[in-house]
Amino acid sequence: MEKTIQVIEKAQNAGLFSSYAIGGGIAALFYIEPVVTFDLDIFIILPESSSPLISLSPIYSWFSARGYKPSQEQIVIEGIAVQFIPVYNDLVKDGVLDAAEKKYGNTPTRVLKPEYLIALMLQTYRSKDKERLSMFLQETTIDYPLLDSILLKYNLKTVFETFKEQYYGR
Amino acid sequence: MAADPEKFIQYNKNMVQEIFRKKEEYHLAQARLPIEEKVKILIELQKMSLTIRPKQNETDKRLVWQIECK
Repeated sequence: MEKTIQVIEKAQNAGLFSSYAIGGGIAALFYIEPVVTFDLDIFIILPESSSPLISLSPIYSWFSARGYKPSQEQIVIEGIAVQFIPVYNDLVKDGVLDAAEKKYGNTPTRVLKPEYLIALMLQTYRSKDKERLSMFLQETTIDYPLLDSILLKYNLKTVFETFKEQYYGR
Repeated sequence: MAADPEKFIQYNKNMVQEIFRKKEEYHLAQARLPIEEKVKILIELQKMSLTIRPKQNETDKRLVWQIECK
C-alpha cells in the first residue's frame, strides 16, 4: 500500500487535486479491527474550476499515461484498486480538510478522522455502517467534543441517539 | 453425591462471562495492531471472501491486493 500512497501523493503534487484523504473501509482499518474490503477510497478536493461540471478525466489521463489503466470507476495502482471520489458534500469536505496525518511504513498520508467517519456512517446509515459504528464505539478512542460539534453542524445528533438506543439500550 | 445446581449455574455464568471478556480483548487487540499488520490480515480476508463468494460476472471488480507485505 505504501507504493500506492506514494503514487497518489505524486498525483496531488502534479495538481490533479488540492487535497485528499483516505476514506471508507481502509480509513476504518486505521482505527478498528480488520474487516474485509477491496477498494481504497480516496476523497479528493478538485482544483477550482469555472465549469459547474465535475470531471475526473484529467485524473484518469494522468494515471493512464503512467501505466495505471482505469477500469470502470476504479484505477489499479500498484496492485490496489483505487476509487477517486470528489467530495460530494460539506461533511466530506470538512473531513478531508481536517484529516489526520498518518504514516504507512515510512510514507506520510492523510486519513479521515474517526469522528468524521462516524458522522459519515450516520449520514449513509446502511446496515454495514451500523455494524462498523458499533466497532468504532468499542474499539477506538473518540474525541467526543469534536464528534459532538460535527453531529450538531450536520444535524446528525438524533440519528446517533437512535443508534445508541437501538444498540445499547437506554 | 449430586452436584449443587446453584453452583453449576454460577459456574456456567462465570464461564460465559469469561468467554465474552476474552472475545472483547481479542477484538481490541486486533484493533490496536499496526496498520501494516492489519493490511496483511485484510489480504487474507480478501482471499477468503473470494473463495466463499467467487466472482459471478465481469462487473464484479473485487481484486485481492497484489502488494508486497514486509
